[in-house]
Amino acid sequence: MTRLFMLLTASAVLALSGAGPCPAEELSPEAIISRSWELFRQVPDEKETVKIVVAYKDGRREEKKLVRWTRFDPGHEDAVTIKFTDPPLDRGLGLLTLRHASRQDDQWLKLPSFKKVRKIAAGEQEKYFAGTDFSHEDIRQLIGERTQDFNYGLSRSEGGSRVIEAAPGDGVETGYGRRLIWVNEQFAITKVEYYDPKGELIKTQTNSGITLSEKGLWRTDRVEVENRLLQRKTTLDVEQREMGKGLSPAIFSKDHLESERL
Amino acid sequence: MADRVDRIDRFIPLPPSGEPGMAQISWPIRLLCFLSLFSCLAQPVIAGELMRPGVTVETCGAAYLQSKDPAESQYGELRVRPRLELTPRDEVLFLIEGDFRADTRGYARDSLDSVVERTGRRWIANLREAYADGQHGWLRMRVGKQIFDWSVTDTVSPSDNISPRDWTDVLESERVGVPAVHLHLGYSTFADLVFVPWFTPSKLPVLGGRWERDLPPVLVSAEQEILGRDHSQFAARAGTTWEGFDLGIVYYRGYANSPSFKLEPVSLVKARLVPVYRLEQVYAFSVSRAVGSYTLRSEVGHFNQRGDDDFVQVVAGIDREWSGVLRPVDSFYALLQYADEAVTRHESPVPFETIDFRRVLNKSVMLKSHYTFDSERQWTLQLEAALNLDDGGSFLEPALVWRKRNIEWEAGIDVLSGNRTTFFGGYGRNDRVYTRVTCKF
Repeated sequence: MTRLFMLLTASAVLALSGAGPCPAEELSPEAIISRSWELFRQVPDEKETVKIVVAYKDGRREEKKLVRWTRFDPGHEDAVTIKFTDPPLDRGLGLLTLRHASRQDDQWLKLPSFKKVRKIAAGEQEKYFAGTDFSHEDIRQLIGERTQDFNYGLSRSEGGSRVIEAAPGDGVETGYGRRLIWVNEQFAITKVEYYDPKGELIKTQTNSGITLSEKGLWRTDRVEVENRLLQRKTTLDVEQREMGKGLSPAIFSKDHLESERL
Repeated sequence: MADRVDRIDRFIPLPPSGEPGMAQISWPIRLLCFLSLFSCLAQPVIAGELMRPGVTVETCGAAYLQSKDPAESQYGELRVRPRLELTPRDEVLFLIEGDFRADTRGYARDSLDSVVERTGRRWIANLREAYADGQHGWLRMRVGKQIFDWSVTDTVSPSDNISPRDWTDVLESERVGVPAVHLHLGYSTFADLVFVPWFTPSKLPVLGGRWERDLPPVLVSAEQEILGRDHSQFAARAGTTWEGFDLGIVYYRGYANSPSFKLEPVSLVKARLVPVYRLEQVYAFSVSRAVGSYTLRSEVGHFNQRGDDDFVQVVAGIDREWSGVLRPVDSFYALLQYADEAVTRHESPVPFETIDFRRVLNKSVMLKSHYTFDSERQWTLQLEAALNLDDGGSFLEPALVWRKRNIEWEAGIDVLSGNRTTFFGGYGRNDRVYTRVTCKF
């Protein structure tokens, strides 16, 4: 009896210990998205060297390179600094974003031909960023989504993934009428379809080269966006990534944006 | 041609006749030549995180539409700026940028012979910036020749006083580097302290050149009176972001980047109008904030000038960018700005109005706009304009810009209008068509 009791107790402890993340099928759509970003944002900071290639249907290609520093804040008061290193005309172009949970983000822009940093309005969400198929809204969403801004519903299951529909809540400024988000069993986002307010498919984002850590932290080494509207494709490849190195707060300041430092 | 050879001789003296061997070239020129060659050759080979060489080559040409003399109606310039950035460690940065320029009017002459630019003329060979920068936590120090831009508003800025200006071409003015020690403390709330130990004059329109103002017959222009080297300047700035407001306060004690004037009698009926630099103290405040899709910017500054008017200058502007205007990927940006002033103490050193470049846009509305056809920003239509609401003088500059990877081409027209007694109207004979090509490597 004692052995049986101990066996049952041990089984219960194992079951409750959270040896792994809760299976996706047991969570609501909103909880699945929240869990996905919770796992993504386990590190306090991150530095990435990124190559972006924009390919047009006529064969033209535009290549850009940038460095992106991200500071993840538990309260979603994140900070992101981006500096372009290529092409030469864009060298020195930089953007600093300080995200705020309860008000408009603060953004500053550094143009290559000017010494100073200018405050800019972060309002034009749907504007394409630096000639890519990522809008300013997309760039912000690449590091986390404010789930309180959207209404989520389960669209369907596809293979081992949950396809979740995200529609903006009342009063939320967004360039999209809805999004379909594919979340796999490890809570990594593998695909996103973006629809305009009229319901037309604008573009499809595919995440590949997904890596997982023991704690479920997921990263994607390649993001591809096929823009149906503009007939072009943007590929974002992460060439180098450093996480949790303790980035200096100085990196997320106007002074760093103004300087030549990378 | 003889004039050009003479100008070249000034910085590359030829050896005495009969003696073979290389010309003696001053050390700064040798350094700049080495830097240029190194930047051009090394960039594709060794550019990386530790060392980043680069070079910008710019060529521009202008045809003036109202010149009687064909020789004066055209202008051309070639400019090469080699650059080298060294980052032996993340916290340390060394930067050196040269500036070679030659033009068809001889505006650039001589070459640098020290770190401090002691003349009011452009140099053919110069150091644009050269400094060492070190960061440790919240403290950063930069020592060397550096360019400062503390402006929040556009073109007119009471906060931006440290760097002198190059007004050789009045419409294409640019900041000049000064040797300085710059301390930056803090992160999003910060303070800057700048000490400039030696005086550097601004570069004024060349006497006898297109941008020299016509004077009444009783006056003759004179070269600016340049202060001795040991006239230091000091500036301090503090700033923070609070509830979306970017706030800044600035204190500056030094010399105006646009000189004042004095009269020196030449004869009983003529006097020389001499540009001189007077000590001033400036207190300025700036604020900017994004409101929806608009950005509001404003500055106010009090200028306390020794031997010249004291005044308060106010600048306010609003700007915004729209996307998807006519096409899904286009964008349109517009900035509208107004500047004005109030003189708080009259002490004009001369009994008539003179040009202070910091104040020429007072009582003027300024517009800067551009329309970009595509998200790659390959084609852009630009329009800059200014209208003085008081005297009706105006400036208009429409331009077309094409950009691709490392080349930018710009072509435009400058039109200056108004009564000849106004600032813009006084340059009315300088309407021009221009083109500029910039290559970056």
